[in-house]
Amino acid sequence: MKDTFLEISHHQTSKLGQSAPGDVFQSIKCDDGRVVSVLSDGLGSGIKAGVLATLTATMAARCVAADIPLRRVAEFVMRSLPVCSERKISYATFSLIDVAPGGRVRVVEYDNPPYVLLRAGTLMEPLKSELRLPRGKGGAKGDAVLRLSSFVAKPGDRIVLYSDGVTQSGMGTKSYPLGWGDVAVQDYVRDLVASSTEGLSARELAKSLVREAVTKDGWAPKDDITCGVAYWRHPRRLLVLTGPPVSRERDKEMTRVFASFDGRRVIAGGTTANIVARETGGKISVDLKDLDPEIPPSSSLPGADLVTEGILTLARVASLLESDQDDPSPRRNAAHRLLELMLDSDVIQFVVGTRINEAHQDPTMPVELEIRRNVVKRIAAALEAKHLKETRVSYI
Amino acid sequence: MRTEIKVVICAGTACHVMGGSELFLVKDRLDESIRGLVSIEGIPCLDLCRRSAPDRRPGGSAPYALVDGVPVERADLDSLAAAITARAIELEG
Repeated sequence: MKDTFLEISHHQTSKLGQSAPGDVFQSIKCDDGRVVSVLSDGLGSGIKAGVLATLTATMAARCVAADIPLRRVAEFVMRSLPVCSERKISYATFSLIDVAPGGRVRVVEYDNPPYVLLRAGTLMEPLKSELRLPRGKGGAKGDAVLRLSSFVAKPGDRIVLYSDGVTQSGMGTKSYPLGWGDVAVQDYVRDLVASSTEGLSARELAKSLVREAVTKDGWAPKDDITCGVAYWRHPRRLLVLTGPPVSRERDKEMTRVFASFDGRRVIAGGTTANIVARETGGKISVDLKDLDPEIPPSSSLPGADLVTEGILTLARVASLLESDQDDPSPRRNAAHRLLELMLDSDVIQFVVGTRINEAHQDPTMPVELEIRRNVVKRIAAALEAKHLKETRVSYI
Repeated sequence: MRTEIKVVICAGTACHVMGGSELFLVKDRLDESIRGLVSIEGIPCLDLCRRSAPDRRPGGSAPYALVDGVPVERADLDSLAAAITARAIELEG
C-alpha cells in the first residue's frame, strides 16, 4: 500500500426534533499504526440512544485497539450495556473496521446494514463467517449473530458503513413503501462514485449519501442517519506556509519550498505573503468581497490556492477544529476556507517561520495574539486526532 | 487633473485588531463628489507597524492606510475620510 493514504470520514444527521444523534461514528489511530473505526446505532433516538451508542462504539474501538479477541469484545459490550427501561432490552448495533498498516482489514458487523466494499467501480461481496453469542442479561431472545469478514485493501478501495436510518429512509412513502433498501443504497454508492470525475473523497461520499437519505425522508429524518467511509487514495497534499523566516537570508529557501511543492499551497500571514510575492515576482490582490468583522480578508497570489492573514485566521481554524459542533454561522470567511482545504487534504505540511513580529507583543492589543508555533501545534494535533490526517511541522 | 485617489488599506494582523477592518467601508463616509475618484485596495501587510520609531510602542500607531502613498496612522473612518478629502482638495487646487 505504498503511497496511499487511508481517509476516514463520516457525516450524520439526527432524527427530526432530537437535539442529539443516537448514532455514533468513532475512529482511533493506534500506536502500532492500525486504525479502528466503529459505527454504532443505539436503540431509539436522542440522548438515551446516544449514550448506548457512545458506550458501544468506545468500548468496541478501545478493546479492538488493545488487541482483545473479537469474541471477548462482543461479550464485554453486550454485558455492559444498560437495559432500556421501556423496552427491557439493552441494545446497540455496531459495525467495526480494523485496518492494519499493510492494508489487512477485519470487519465485524452486528445488526447494522451490511457494509459496502467498492473496488474499481464494482461492488464486492466479501465472504462472511458468523459468530453466535448468547446475549447479556435482560437481552432480547435468541443469540446475537456477529458477522466477520477479512480482506486486504487495494489502492482505490472504499468501505462504506451506514446506519439503518439510510436503508429505511423514505419508508412509508409512495415511492419507497419499504424504505430505500440495501440493494438500492449499494447501487447509489456505486453510481455516485462512477459519476464523479475526480476521486470522490470519503467526506463527500458520506455527505452525499446522508443528504440523499434525508431527501428520501422528505427532509424530515425519521431516524438518525449516519454514514462513515474509509477510502484508500492517492494522498492529497497541502502546504501551509506561515510566518517569516528567522533571518532574511532564508526567505529564498522558504520560497523554494513553496514553489516546488507538489500539491495545494496556502500562505497564512501578511508578511509571509509579501516575501513570497517579492521573491516570485507575483502580485497580491486582497479580495474585498468577503469582508468579515472578525477575520481579515483573503488574498490571491499566482501559485497559491489561498492567501490569508496569519495568527487570527489560524487561531480561528484551531478553535473550529477543536470544537465538536459544526460552526452554525453561515459566514464563509478566510478561516472557513482554510479549514475546508485542510479537511479536503490527507497530508498537511506546515512550514512555520519563527521570526517574531514585535507589533504583536504589545500588551495593549485588544485581543490575545498567540504564539504562531503553539497555534500550529494545536491545529496539527486536532487534525491528527480528530480527522486522522497526517501532519508534518517544520520550522524555518 | 488626476482622476483617481488610490487608498491602500492594511489587512495585516495588528491593523485588523486595532480596528482596520472598518476602514474598507470608508467610501460611505466620503462626500459624493469625491466618492467616484477613490479606489480602495487592500494589502496583506504594509509592514509599517514593525517600522515604527523605537520610542513609540510597537504597533501602537496601527491601523495604517495609504492615501496616494502617504501613510495615515491610527486611522479610523473619520481620519481616513478627512485625509482623502484633503487629498482631493489638494488635487483640485
